[in-house]
Amino acid sequence: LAQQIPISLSQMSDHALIQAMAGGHTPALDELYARFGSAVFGFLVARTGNRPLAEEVVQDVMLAAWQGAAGFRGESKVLTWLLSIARNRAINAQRRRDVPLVPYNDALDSPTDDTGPLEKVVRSAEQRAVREVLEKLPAHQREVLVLVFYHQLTEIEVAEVLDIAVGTVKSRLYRGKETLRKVLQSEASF
Amino acid sequence: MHEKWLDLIPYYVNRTLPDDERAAFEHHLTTCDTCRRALEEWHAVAGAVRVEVDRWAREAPALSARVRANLGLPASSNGHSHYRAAFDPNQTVSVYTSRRSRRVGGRIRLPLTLVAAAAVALTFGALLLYIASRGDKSPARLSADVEIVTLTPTRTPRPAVTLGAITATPVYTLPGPGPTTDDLGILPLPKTPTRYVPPTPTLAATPFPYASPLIPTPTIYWPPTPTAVYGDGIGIGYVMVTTEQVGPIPAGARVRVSHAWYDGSSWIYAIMAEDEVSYAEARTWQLAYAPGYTPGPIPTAAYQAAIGAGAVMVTTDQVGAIPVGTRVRISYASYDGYGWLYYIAPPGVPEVVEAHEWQIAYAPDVTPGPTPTAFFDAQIGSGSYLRTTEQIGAIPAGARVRIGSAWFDGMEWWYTIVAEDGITSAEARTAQLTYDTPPMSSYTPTATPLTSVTIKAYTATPQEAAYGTTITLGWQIIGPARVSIREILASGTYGQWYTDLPPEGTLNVIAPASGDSITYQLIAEDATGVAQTEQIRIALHY
Repeated sequence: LAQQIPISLSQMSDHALIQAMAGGHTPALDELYARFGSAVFGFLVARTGNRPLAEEVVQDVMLAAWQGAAGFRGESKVLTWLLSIARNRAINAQRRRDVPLVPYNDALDSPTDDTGPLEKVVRSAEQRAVREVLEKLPAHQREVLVLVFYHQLTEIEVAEVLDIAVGTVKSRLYRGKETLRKVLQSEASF
Repeated sequence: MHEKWLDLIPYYVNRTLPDDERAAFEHHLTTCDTCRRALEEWHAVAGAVRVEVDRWAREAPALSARVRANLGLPASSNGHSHYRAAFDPNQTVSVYTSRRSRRVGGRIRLPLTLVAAAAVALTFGALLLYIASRGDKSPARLSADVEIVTLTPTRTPRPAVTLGAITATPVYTLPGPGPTTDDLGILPLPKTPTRYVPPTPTLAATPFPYASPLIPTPTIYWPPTPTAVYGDGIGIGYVMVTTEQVGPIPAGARVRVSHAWYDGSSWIYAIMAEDEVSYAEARTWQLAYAPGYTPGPIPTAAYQAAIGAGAVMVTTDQVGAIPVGTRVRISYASYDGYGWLYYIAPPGVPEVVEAHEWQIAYAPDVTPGPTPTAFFDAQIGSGSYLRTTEQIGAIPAGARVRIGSAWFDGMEWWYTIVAEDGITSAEARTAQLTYDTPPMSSYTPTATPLTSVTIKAYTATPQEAAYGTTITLGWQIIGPARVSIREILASGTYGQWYTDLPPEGTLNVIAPASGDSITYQLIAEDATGVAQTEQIRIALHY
């Protein structure tokens, strides 16, 4: 029989990929991670505000996805399924370790005197502005903004992922925007 | 009433509104200043969020050794070791092209088209710009006296880049409908941190398709965003050079444009030098196309038809460790701005090696042609059922099956089919499957066991359980290679899956706290994956 060539994995739909994982096809997990790893990681950073924790939890999420692949019923997008797992794993990890929510820039911006070119880039005025604006948001507002504008989820999908009411999504989204707007306007007045 | 429109705006911006609501909203926008102002604000918010999260996401770690060990995966993923090989400072172009080819997301049926698209799309924004600027063909020329300098790495590259496994820099391509020119307004935040510049208005790009004959549409003019001069140079490798010192990057350095944005008056290009450390933001006049690079649409790969079509190629040169004259397949291809690179491997070898067009040719017995579409293309991964026309492996004729995946071996399509029990699988040709028709017999997985595995006993105590109490499952199986027990909840969804159980033993499980029953499915597989199953249903009560 012909060998299963790698291209077939990348050709698979997201749902087929989960089926392949449920069937024990381990390379499918790599493909899944290539497709969604950074999206899940981005969400975890937004949610936990703690990058080392996010780095660890994203691994848990992939393991859980592997173990739960057979239970995936294909009624939601694979992305929202993974994000729901990520939310649960993040809660568990924070509870287990009693990790407080720290402003995520503390984790990202470790105090170092290294002022190499890369750091200069990171500290360029523009990026700092974006980051400072986002960092001022409470995590629960930030994660809603991220799910809507980065992950491009619908209101209902955001509610499902975060296990909150649609009305809560609405209010968090608005408060998040209001916070951002205030910061942007106060900067404009300088 | 107005609240309703305001609530829609975030989802208009993230492009998830249904067509009818989108059209209605666009129509409403023509008459509503409040909504237009709100739309601009949301665009700014969306741009800020995307830029920042994209930066975090790019630093996602590789899959850890812990996860890999848990699954029995090698420490570095097979089939993707070229990422490590590719991170050679002298081959940075191929690094980025190969990385980009991993960024393909979603359902893909035409590998080359997507590789080409991915090769262009270093960032989402780059893709937008690329699309927006295809019509622009007025590149500046590099003056002859600019000397090309090569920047060498001055520090260790970022860890996410050097890990080398498949997961080194997984970058997520935004799902959803393809970008159009009106996305240009949601590119990064205003340039200067001290002044809020609203993003370029986006409405002019798409005419309102929704015009009521009763309400005349007022004419509103918004100046369109001009296209980027170097739109063709974005995201496809080091195809630009600097014409003067830009930030830390000297004149004449080869750079790649990672993305670009319009600040309301001119385009600004985010450029990265070959050392992958030196970064700057350049204006149009500070850049030119590199000598030898011809801007324009990406040409078609010469061996497009061979990509993913099995071992139909032969090496005409020693390529890495692959000797001349070896039959190879092309896993995928990428475009680096100069030519196509093909990632090849002999049959059965997972590691791919990068080859140039001149290093491979069609095998003598192969007539090149496009890969045909799979006959059951629409059923692949769709969950819809087909029937077998004959016995295939452990699956009898007439059984309802689903297609999990499919591949083309160079001659014909093969389908991985899974029976209704969700476990028994086989590989089928097109002729062995047919569309599901009601009169055929229903397949029960235990009907025709083609395996030596026998479930001697499977018990549960008690037969009825109170919520949250312990249930003891016991089993005895002859000759299994793998034993597992899967929970099937009253809703029909799967719960816990207990794996790696011994051939004979007991397991204490906790009854769920809701539902009127729970079913425990015992799955005993032989070494080839053929399974015997048995189920016990436990009634639940308070």
